[in-house]
Formats: sequence, C-alpha cells, structure tokens
Amino acid sequence: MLAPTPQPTSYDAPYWDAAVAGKLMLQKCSKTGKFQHYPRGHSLQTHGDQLQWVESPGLGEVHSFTVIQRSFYENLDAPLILAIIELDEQVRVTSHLVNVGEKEVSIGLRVKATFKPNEGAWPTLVFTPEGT
Amino acid sequence: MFPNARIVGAHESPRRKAEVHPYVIFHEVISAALNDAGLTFSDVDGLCVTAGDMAEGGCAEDSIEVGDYLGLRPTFFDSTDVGGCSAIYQTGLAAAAIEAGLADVVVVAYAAAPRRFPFAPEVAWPIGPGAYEMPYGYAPPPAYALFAQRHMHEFGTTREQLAEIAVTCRANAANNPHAPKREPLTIDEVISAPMIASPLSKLDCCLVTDSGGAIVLTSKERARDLNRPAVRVLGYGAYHSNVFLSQQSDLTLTPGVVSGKRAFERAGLAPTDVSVAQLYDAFTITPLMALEDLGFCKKGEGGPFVESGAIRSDGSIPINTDGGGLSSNHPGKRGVFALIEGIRQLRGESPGHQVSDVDVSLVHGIGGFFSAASTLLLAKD
Repeated sequence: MLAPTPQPTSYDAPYWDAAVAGKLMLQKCSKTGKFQHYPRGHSLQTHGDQLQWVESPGLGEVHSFTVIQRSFYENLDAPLILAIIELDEQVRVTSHLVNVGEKEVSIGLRVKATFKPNEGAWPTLVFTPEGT
Repeated sequence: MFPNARIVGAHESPRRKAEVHPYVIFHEVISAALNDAGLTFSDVDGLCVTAGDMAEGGCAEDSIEVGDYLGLRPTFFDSTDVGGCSAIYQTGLAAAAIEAGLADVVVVAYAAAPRRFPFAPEVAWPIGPGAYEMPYGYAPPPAYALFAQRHMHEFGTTREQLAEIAVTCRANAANNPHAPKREPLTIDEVISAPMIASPLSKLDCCLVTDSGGAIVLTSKERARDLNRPAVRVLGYGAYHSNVFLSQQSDLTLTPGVVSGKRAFERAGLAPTDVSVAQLYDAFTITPLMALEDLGFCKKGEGGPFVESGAIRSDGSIPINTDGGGLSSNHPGKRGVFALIEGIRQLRGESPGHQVSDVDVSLVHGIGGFFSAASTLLLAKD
C-alpha cells in the first residue's frame, strides 16, 4: 500500500507552484485578515472570493505528535514523526518533523518549515526545530 | 422521539475472517436479522447500507449495488458513508422514514472484509484536503495517537488509564464465544506491547476483522404482530465536523459533544439515566473521550473516571459489554455491532456481559478521525 502523492487542482495550484520554489504560501481572507489552510476556492470567513496568497515565514510550534513505529505505507519508512504544527498565523498543518531525535520532541517545540524536493513529484513540506 | 418506529430484528455475523466476498455476508446477516424479526425479504421496502472502504474487490457497494445483489427493490434507501458510525446514523434516518410513512420495513446493514480487501488510500485522497495529509502516512492509529498525545498533555491522562479501557473490554469479551480475544489482559501487558504510534501500543488498537451485521425497523403497529421484543429509539443525534485533525479547532473535543447533547435533549434524558453504553472503541482513547463528551464525566476527567472502575461490568456505567472493537469485532466500521449489542442488552441477550435491569441503552459511534458522530438512546417498548 502506498501513501498518495499530491495532485494540485484548480484552487490550490499557487500553493504547489510556490512550494517548488521553496516558499510556503497561505491563503488570507482580505476582509477579516484570518488565514486558512488547506487552500480552498473561497474564504471560510465570508464564503466569498476575498482571498489573497501570502508568503509565510513558516514558523510555529508542535501542537501534537506521534512517533510512528510501524509504517502503513511501503513508500514511508518507520520510525517517523508525524506532527500537527500550529503556525504563527494560527492555522495548523500536518507534517513530518525531521533532523530531530524522537526524545527531543515535545508539544510546544518551536519549529520552522522547509520543503523537501521529490524527484518527479511535488515537494513535501516538513519541519525542523527552529534555529537548526 | 419516533413514537411509531420500532427495532424488531438484529443479527451480528459470527464471522471474523471471511472466506467470502462481503456481499455474501450482507445476504447472511440480512437474512438472519429478518428471520429474527419474523419477516422476509418480500417485506422490505427500505435499505440503508455501508460497506468497506473504497471498492472492495472493485465494487461500489452503495444501496443500488447491494440491493441489486440481494434482489431488493427499495423505495427508501441510503448509502451515506460517515465512517464507523454510519449504521448508527442510518438507524436515525430509518426511524424517521418509518415515522414519516416513507417506508414500512427498513433494513440497516453493514458488511466488510478488510482482511481480504485492504483500504487503498492511493486511489482515495491525492486531491483536495487529502493532498496535504495523506502523503505523511496518515492512518487511523497515528491519527488517534495525535489525539491521545494532546489529551495526555492537557489533562495528564496516563497510558495506564488508557490501558484500563482495553482491560475492561477484554474482561467483557471473556464469555463471548465469537470474540477472537478472550484471555485475561493486564494493564502492564497493554503498556509493554509493541508500540504502533506513540502513545498507542498494539493493544490500544482494535482488531481488524471481516464481518457484518444488520438490524430491522418497522412500525409500532406492525411490531405488535411480530414475535420479538421491540426496541424504541428515545433519542438520536448526529454531527460531522472535519476530515483531518489539522482542521479541528480543539483536539480534545469530538463531534460526540453535539450528537450526544442532541440525543439526550430529544429523549429528555441525562447520562445518569443510562444503564449501559456501547462506545465506539477503535482505540483506547476513543471511548475515553466519548465518556467526557457525552457527559458521563467532566472534560479532562476521563482518565481518573476509567481508573476508578466506573466502566467495568460492576461499575456505574458498564461499556462495550460484548468486548467492543478492541476484543470482539471491528472491520472498517464498527457502528452496527455497537448498535446490535445495545439492542441485545435491552433484550437480555448479550453474549459478553449482560447488565441486569437495563432501562436505557446508549449507543455511540464515531467516524473517520473524530470526523463524525452519531448517538442513539434505546429502550424497551
């Protein structure tokens, strides 16, 4: 069984195009100033199209995490650290924590986004401890 | 709520490892549930089904396909897939359909063989929200591990407290001849079992079985002529929120907060009125959070509550009396089995631990990654 690789669609192509350039783009409601992620074709606040793409510094903290000891997918090797990251923009993303030992991870750990290139596929957003 | 609808038949397949396609299990369990009710296929005009995840063996498994395989031509039908709680959700729809005169005899059924046909996420979720989640190795155990980790962080819940749930389910399974896991289990054994996704070990996770189940509903009038003790639906609530955890504003709350409140309000009942509860147990964290969200204890106090023995067979609110998904039966969607055990408790027919003097039987299911919930409050006619 394989974990799927992402396929951009009409409303989120700008996210993936920026990811190739190593930039994390988030959608911001231009009426309320609130961020949203994953990308959508409309603002969750107004249900209208008042949306702009904003580059994020990619800083945030670990909201929850788990060390997967038994991978369910042939294309992902265990152990790996799956985490929910709360970005400083107050949106959460699912990701992997890399370049960090399992025992060094805790809820609240400050982290920074980076894109890992994948040959023949879209890049993967991962996080490392801030300052590393 | 639903003064004219009655549950008159129920059957859980004894199968746990199928040598057959799920359609064969559908036929077996629906035949047996109709027989239990004293009805036949020709009486059925309503069909609600859910099946395994995404095309087991290439089948769509909606009500058209399953109905066609069975030879049923219903005029009321539903194949809503809200994960594990689908059959509980559909029981509310079926009762409402009977109430409104849309159907006379409704079958709610589920069958799946995930051991024969494993879930295939690579065809399910490459676009949309899944594109931001599934590439990371998302699956039920790590997702529920993320909930558990956050609950432990915020409230000091311990692995021992989670393990108590697995131990309780195992004790209830001891007498259930169909439960694959019946030997006694200790808290230490749960904690020292191989880790799947921290903090959940293998014994914090449900079994994976091939099985099926069905129930039959009809009108109060028609139920009078049948030979089975009828069960009423006193309360019903449903709710769905987010597909994935990243969209959930509070990882310590589940959609059971809303489905449970609605069910209790509509029934005019409170958690203290409940004699026995079937709480969906895909993982040990799942019923722990349900106990909080349904109001059996306060938010954050699920750990000390289970540690006190409250959920054991001699406690104030026995749960998962057949052994639950942790020790008895869990294909992809356990809801129908929780429902059948909730009905058996009212009939005095539990194969696991039968609670004495059951007045109100609660059945609570969740779907996805705490994405949906449905709650039923059942009572004898």
